[in-house]
Formats: sequence, C-alpha cells, structure tokens
Amino acid sequence: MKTPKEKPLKAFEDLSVIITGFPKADIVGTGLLETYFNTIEAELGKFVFENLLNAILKIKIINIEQLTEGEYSNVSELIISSKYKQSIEKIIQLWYLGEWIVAPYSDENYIISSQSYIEGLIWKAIAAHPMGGKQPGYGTWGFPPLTYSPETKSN
Amino acid sequence: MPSINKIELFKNLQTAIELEHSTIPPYLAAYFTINQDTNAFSWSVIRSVFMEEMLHMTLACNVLNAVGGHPFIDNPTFIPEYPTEFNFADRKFDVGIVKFSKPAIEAFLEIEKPSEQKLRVEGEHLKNLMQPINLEEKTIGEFYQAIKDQLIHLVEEYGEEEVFNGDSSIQITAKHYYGGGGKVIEVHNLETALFAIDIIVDQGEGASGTIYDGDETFFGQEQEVAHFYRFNEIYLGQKYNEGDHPNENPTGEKVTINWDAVIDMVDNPKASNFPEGSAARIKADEFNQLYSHFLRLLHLAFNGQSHLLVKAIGMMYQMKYVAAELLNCPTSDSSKKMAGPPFEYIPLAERKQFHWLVEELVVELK
Amino acid sequence: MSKKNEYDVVIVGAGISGGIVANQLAEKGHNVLILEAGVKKDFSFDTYREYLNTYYENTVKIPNSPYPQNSNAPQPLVTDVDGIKNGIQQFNEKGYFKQYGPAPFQSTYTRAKGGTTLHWLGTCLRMLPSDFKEQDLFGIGKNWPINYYDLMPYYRMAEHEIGVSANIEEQSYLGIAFQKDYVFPMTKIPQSYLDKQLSKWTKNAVFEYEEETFNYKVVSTPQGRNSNPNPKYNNGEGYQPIGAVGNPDLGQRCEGNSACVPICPVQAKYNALKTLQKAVNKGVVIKAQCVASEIMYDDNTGEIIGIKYKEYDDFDALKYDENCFYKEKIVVAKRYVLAAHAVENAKLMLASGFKNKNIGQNLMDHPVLLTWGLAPEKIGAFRGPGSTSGIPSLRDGAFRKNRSAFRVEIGNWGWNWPTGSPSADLSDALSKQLFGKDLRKALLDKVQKEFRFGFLIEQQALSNNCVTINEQYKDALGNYRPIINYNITDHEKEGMLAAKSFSKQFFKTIKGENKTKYDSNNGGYIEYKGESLWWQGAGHLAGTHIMGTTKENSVVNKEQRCHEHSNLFLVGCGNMPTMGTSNPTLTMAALSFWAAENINKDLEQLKN
Repeated sequence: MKTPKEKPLKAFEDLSVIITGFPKADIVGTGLLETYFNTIEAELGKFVFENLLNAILKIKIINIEQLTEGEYSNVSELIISSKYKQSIEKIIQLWYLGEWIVAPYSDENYIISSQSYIEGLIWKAIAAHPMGGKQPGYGTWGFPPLTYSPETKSN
Repeated sequence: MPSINKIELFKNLQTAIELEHSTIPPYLAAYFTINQDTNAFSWSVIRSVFMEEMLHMTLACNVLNAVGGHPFIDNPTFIPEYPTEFNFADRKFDVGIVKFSKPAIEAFLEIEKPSEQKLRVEGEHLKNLMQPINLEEKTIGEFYQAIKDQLIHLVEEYGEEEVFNGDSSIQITAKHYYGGGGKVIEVHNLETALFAIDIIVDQGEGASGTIYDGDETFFGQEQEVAHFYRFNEIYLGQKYNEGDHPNENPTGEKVTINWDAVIDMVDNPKASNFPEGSAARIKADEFNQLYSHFLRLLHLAFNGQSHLLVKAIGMMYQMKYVAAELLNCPTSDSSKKMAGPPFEYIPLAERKQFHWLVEELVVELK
Repeated sequence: MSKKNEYDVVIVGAGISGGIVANQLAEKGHNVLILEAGVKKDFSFDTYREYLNTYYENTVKIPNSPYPQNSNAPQPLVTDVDGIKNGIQQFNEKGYFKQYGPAPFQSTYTRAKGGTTLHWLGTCLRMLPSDFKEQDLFGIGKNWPINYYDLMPYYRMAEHEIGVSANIEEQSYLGIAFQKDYVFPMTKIPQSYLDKQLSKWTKNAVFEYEEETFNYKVVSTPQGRNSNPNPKYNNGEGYQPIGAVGNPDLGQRCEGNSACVPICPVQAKYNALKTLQKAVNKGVVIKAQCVASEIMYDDNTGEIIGIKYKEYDDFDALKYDENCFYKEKIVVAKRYVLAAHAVENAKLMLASGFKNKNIGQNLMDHPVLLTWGLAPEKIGAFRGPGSTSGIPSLRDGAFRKNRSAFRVEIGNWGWNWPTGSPSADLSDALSKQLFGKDLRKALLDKVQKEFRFGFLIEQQALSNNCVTINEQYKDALGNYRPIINYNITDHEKEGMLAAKSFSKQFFKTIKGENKTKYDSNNGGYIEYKGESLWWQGAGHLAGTHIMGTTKENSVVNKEQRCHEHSNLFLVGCGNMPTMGTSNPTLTMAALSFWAAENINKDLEQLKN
C-alpha cells in the first residue's frame, strides 16, 4: 500500500538524481531523502514544492541516470527558467552541502544536522571526503587522486 | 633423517588465519548497525574485539610466513558463506551476518567461549550451511595448542633454523597495527612464534582461569577482560569488577544497552537477493567489489608486499562507508528491512576497475 | 572575598605552556593549581565529541567554531575583523578586541581547557640560529638573551611531549642542528600527493629576486601529529603514540580527517588536553570557570602576594545576564605563573598596574600572504592534514637586512582558506547554470587541481604594536578587553612582494595556473609599490612580554622570571623577542620546559 508520501518522495528522488548528477544508490545511501523532502517542503512551502515536483514528473525520462540529449534540454529548460531556478539551486546546495542556504553569507543559513554535513555530495563530487568526517585512513593522501569521473550528458 | 614435512603445520596455520578472519564480518555487521552515540559501550567493545581479531589474523600470518608457508587469502574458500557453522569439538553453532541483537551477541559468546566455560544462555538456532569452520574435533584452545606442539616437535627434530626458514623481510611489523589492543610480533623463532599464539588464545578466551586477556603481561597495558567476557558485559548490561570469577556473573558498574537503537538490517544479506538496479543491489555489489579487492591487497601484503597494508587499511575505511550507505537502502520497495554488507567473494576475473583501484591491482586485471 | 589554600604554584591558563609547567612541577612533587577561564569540561571523549558536533553544524567553520563562545571568558574570532570601505580599513564595535589599527589584527586564540592547541594546525618547526640574533645580524628586530644551542635540549623535550613526526635527515638546513644520533619520536607524516608532484615539477628550480638566485626544495614539515613510531627513538626505546584523551585506542595515527584546524576528530593531532590529563593524574588541580582578574603585589618589593580571580557559576556559564553571578576569590602560592597566552598575559599585568613599559608592546603575528592556483594535473585536493610540506629555503639570508624572510606553507585543502572552496566553487558553477553530471564534472575537473600557498612573513617587534587597556572596554565579568594597535612595516611589505614574486615564478615553473586575485574590500588588503597584496593572521600571537637583559628592554629575564617581580614567571609566546618564520608553539613549549626547571630550582631552594 502506497502511503500518501511515497509518490512525491519518489518524484523527489528522481529530481535529486537529475539535478545532482548522482545515481539513485548514492542519493538513497545518504539516508536523508525524507529529511530533505521535509526541509524543502517547510522552506519553499508545500505548494511551490509540489508544483516543482509535478513539473519534473511531466518530463518524460526513460533513464534518470542517463539523460538523452532531448531529455536533457527539457530538464535544462525547466531548471534555468526563472520560476524554478532559485529553488533548484537551493535544492542542489542542500544535497551538496547539507545546508539550507537562504542567501550567501546569510545568518539564516543553517546546516540541517551533523549527518547532513557529513553526507554532503560535494565531497564525492570532488573525489575527497567531508572535512572532519569519512576519513580515508593513514597515508592515503599520498596516493594519486581518485580518477572516477562521471559521464557527462553527451554519453 | 627424513626431510622436514610442514604440510600439516601449514594447513593448521592457514585454518587459524581463516578462523580469525571468519569472525570479523559478523562482528562488523553488529558494529555497523549500531551508533557510537546511542550505544557507546557496545560500539567500543565490538570495535576492540574485531581490532584484536585483525591482530590475530596478522600474527597467524606472521607465524606462517616465518616457517616458510604462504598465507592464501585471495581465494573463494577463504571466506565462509554466512550463516556458517563453527564446528569445534565441544560445540557446533551457526554464526551469521546479523544486526546487533541478543542472538548476535549469543553467537559471539559461543565463538569466544573458553574451553571449559559453561554457557548458561539459550540461543536461537540459525540455519546450517556450507563451508563450516572445521577444527576437526578440537576446541579452539586445543587447536592452537596443537599448533604449538607441532612447532615444538619440529624444532626438536630439525632445529630452529630449518623450521623457521621463512623470509624475515616479509614479516608484518609493529608499525602497521595500531588503534587496538596489542602489538604485532615479528616472528623469527620458536619463542616469538609461541608468544604470538599465546596472544591469540589469551585475548580471545582469557589467560587461563581468569577473565583477563593477558595484555597486561604481554603489553604492559591496562587490564582488559578477554573477548568472551566483554561480550558478556554487553549481554548482561554490566561490567566485570576486578577479582570477579570467570564462572560468575559480573558485579561491576551497570551499562545501558539500547537494543532498540539498531538499524533493522536483513539477516545474512546477499547481493543477488536485492532487485537488480535497486540502490541496495548497486551498493551491495560495490561493497563486495571493495571487499574482494581488499582481500587481494591483504593477500599481496601478507605475501611479501607489506607496504600495501596502507592501501588495504584505506580500503577498509571505504568498505565501512559503503556499508553505512547500504544500511540506508531498503532491501526492496515494499520492505522495511535494510540491506547490509554481504561480504561475498567476487572472483578476480569479475572485479571491476574502480575508483579505489590500486596500481598493482590494475596491472593484474589487465 | 575568601582566601584559598596555599599552593606551591598557581598557574593562570590551562593551555600547552601551563600544562607543561604543571606537569613538570607535579612530577617533582610540587602542589600545583591551574586557574582556567573557560567552561568546566571533563576530559571524556564524549565531551570532546560535543565540540565535533558543534563544528559539523556551524555554517562558518573558523578556527574557534567548535568551541563555545563564552561571554565570561570571551575570545577573538576571525569573523570579528572587518573589511575595507572606500579604501579605508574599517574597525567595528563587535568582537572581543577593540582595534584601532591601522592594520587589522586577524589572529585568534581559544580560552578553554587545552587552549589554542585545540584548533592549531600542529606545525612544529624549530627556529633558526639566526632568528635569535636578528638585531646583530640584520640590524632589524631584537636579540634574544639566549641562543639556539641553549634551547636544543628543551626542543627535544617539547618534541617528545607533543609527539613530533619528522625524518631527521631532511630537517638540518639553514643552521638547524641536532644532537648526535637524535631522531624524532615518529617518522614523518606521509607527504601528500600534491607535495610529491610539486617536488617533482620543481626539481632544480630556482627563485630569482633582486639579483639573487635562490635554490629551493619542497620539504616535509615536522608536525605534532601521530605517525609511525621510530624504533630508534630514545636510544632504541621507541615511542608510544598518545591517542585521544579518554579514548586512547583512537587517534594513534592521523587518519586524514582534513579538519586539523579547527578540530581533529580523533585527536591524532596533539592538543594540550593530553598533557593536562597527565598533570591531573599527578595531582594537579584545575579550577575552570575562574578568570584571573588581578595580580596583587607588594609595592615595595614587587613580590606577588596573591592572584584575584572571578569564579562564575555553572548555571549561567555561557550567557551574559544582568545578574550574572561570580565570586571573587584570592589564591596564594609560593610561585606564580602566567600562561594565559600572549594577549591575556599582557592584559592581566596591565590590569594589575604593572609598571614595566614593555608590557603589551611588541605584539607580533605572522602576516600570511595567500596565493592560490591550479596545478597542471589533478593532485586531489582536500586530502590529508592541512599542510604536510613547505619550502623552508627562504627562511634565512642576508636579504633579511632589507626585507622579511618567509616560510612557504603548501596547503592541501584546495582554495579553502583564500576563497571558501569548495562551496565557493559550487556557487561559481551554479551561477554558470550547471547542474547534474555537468556540475559534478566541472567541480571534479577544477577542484582536484586546486592548491594554495601561505607565505608566513616574519614580523619584527615594534613598540607601537601593542595591547593596552581602557576603562571603557570591559567584558561581562568586568574584566578588561584587550585594545589592539597594530600595523605592518615596509620591511614586511617588501617580504610580501618577494613572496608574491616567488608564487608567480613557481606557477610558471610548474606550468600551472596562478589564480590569485585579491579583493580590495577584504580586511588585510593593501597596495604597495603598485602591487596588490592580501594577508591574513596565522594565529600566532607573540612578543607582549619579551625576554631580555634588563627591565628597561624587557619584561622577563632569560629564566622567564619577571625582572620586577621575582616570584612571578611568564610563559608562552609573549616571551619571544622574535618569532622568525616558524610557527611558535614548539619554541614556546621548549621555553616552558625550561621555565619549569627554573621554577623547580626556586622551590627546591625554598625548601632548604
């Protein structure tokens, strides 16, 4: 039985994969999907957030982890459009930094929790680790940098 | 005089290495499913135990290398399939990869139970399965004693030099082991070999007749209770006091165990049980890949390339983080259970070029 | 006001110098009390983890971010420093310091058990022999009344106490000498991949400046951070790394948390709690939430007769309240030690009406010129300790007559310090409309090449750079707030020009991209001889009660005893007449061992 939350949560999961560039496994692996959903709903307002999710749902995407050229430009249009641009940016920043950013350097910015800071995706993006957490072990900083590189949209 | 035959000795030492390793995945599963903040005591205890099992593994490898043998780590028979049966002379029981829980701790108590100790608790039985750890009708204590006897006997017959003819330069040295109780002993003669084995036995079961693990005598460290008694402290929610007797319950300070603050991991996770394309499946595969690469690194490190231990240890950290991610992935869309680290072996040919791959491994894969 | 029991020694400040002195004196059987202004915290690891969580959840991760802001014992924050408006450096009213400039003083310290070593990087360099006689050699700065060789045995004690990791064969340069067969307690912290690549790319490279050619090398930096013990240490006895206080199995090796500043999550980095724990085990008493407010002394003899302190409540420890309650108490001892760090020591003496005119003067920092750019290939930024190597080659030379020497610190954490990367890189990428995999790739491609330099510019002691007090500026408990007057000289600016040139040449040599771009609105921005420069504080505060030969030219003698108050000793960086180009903690720790010896001699004599 699907609870009322599941469908929008799934849409949010898909949205997160698309805008962060990280696969579902990494998104789910943070354990923060539902927490972030609640944060965003509270910050943007249920109405705005719902509209945003519905807008994403409208775009037909076969494989969210591998957008085709056409799918990519549809998404791009949505994201860069002035209506949702700011919200999308904040959501990306939430995933990447674990922080809700109202405005640069604002006193109202806040980090959701210690866990959200540690699970910030930016550190995976740069193939490092969160400063102060997920330490890689003695001596590992002497090895060549990790070479894992995600494919770009054109693949 | 017939030439020296070490086959039996090599076989037993290899079994010792496998035995010490086989307890680690179950301990790690319990450890990963609890939290340092909500279950601080249990978290430290389990951590200290598996750190010591890693020490034991290393010591056993050092002994094997010292007598000219070769630890065989990167192979499918090295890891049991969980749940697995531990088959000792005095008892037989199953151990699985399960979340922190009373049954899990009961299984750990069984593993570490000293030879003469009577266990006064009832346990749930897990399924029997293949690849049991078979000590051929011995208790753990007897098993290690037999190894000691073999060494002594061989040295009597052939002399120390013949017996300990391994390459001393490939011994794992003390600097590679840290963060846990004890020190790595470099083995090069009978005395050091016997010492190394004594450490394994005493840290596990307890220096005979006591609840203590001999670390004070061995390492001049603070008195620590042996593994069995540490698990009992968790099980009963109470610490031992100095002077408590092995056959009695602990009388020290009570400790809180939050049996509920545990991630609800599915028992004995297997990658293939998770739906293809699911987060659980992807992370489980990733974990198994890391683990298999890790075994290879360990194999190479224990067979002459000890500088690779730094990389092997780095790999362990990565495994921990992927395990944490796994524990956030439901086993399926409709399930409330979480996936977990399967510790399954992936053969060399199926290992992937990975962001954590090491130069040496890349060369081999080509 | 109530008198407390008489101790052999009372020490103000539970930081590294106070800890060392306490531990050494307790070892000799003396009765020691430490007064600490900061909040009562036990030494358990759970308590330490609270600091860690505060750090994780703080959006601005400055050096003092994990440590509570306490209006009863306020501490400076780097965010207190204002920027520049219309070309004029602004000085605001917020923050603990009252600054008049003209240059902003940008360094901070921590008022808590463990002191500033809680947030320090851990760099442990010895000073050079030349650094001790700069006035003689270069006509600039001051001379110490002692020299490098006098300090050698104490350097060894400090290296032991802190637990320094380094390979001795790399560390003898520019006159630094070591006792025969000496090795450091632990072998060097592995160099970062960045270090190794930079080293490779600058093999045989030279720096050309003002008609001189300088060879230089990337050298591993000795640091107070756990690495592999050296079995040869201490005549073969070896060394046991000290892990976290309250959790000794943790922190036995650096694990690459990359958060040294402001907090090492596993305490692989030395912090003074490790020394304090030993001291407490020997019977040293630490009374926290006790802020020393006045040193009472006899007008005729100068003898200290007691230290007055304000003990504030548990109840309202962190919040200033109109009804904030404290008790004023006095403690008496045979010998007194101020170990509250350079600024607080000076402030306390001024508050007590000490007459020596040198008190508070000669305030020094290391202005750090930052430059940054991209390596020609990915080097994997944001891994490992903040810095594992540097370039020490320009720490000395005849040129010091004309310009400041500098030490080059190679930064492993990308552009984190100068620009706030990687968040800044994220903002940048977002502003370019990037998202999804393109965003990831852009970040990966850029950030993995990032690195920065910090040029620690030597600063000379000047009387105009000083700490003073004024009735107008007091804190919640009614204690004085430090008033800072501070500036940098042309000598230092010339050093910065040389540093900037070094950076330019370096980026060219390695075929990297120099991305240094200064914002003229940032505090610490200046223009000199047509060049833009931007410097920040290194977190080094020194000179406020220097060591010297007479009471006219100094506050303490070479025993670190006050000239005018024979039962009072001062320890800490405030004693240092120069800092050279090394982070001062190691030298200060060495001096503290020496001071402890001197105090012990005094106490032994008293017994007889």
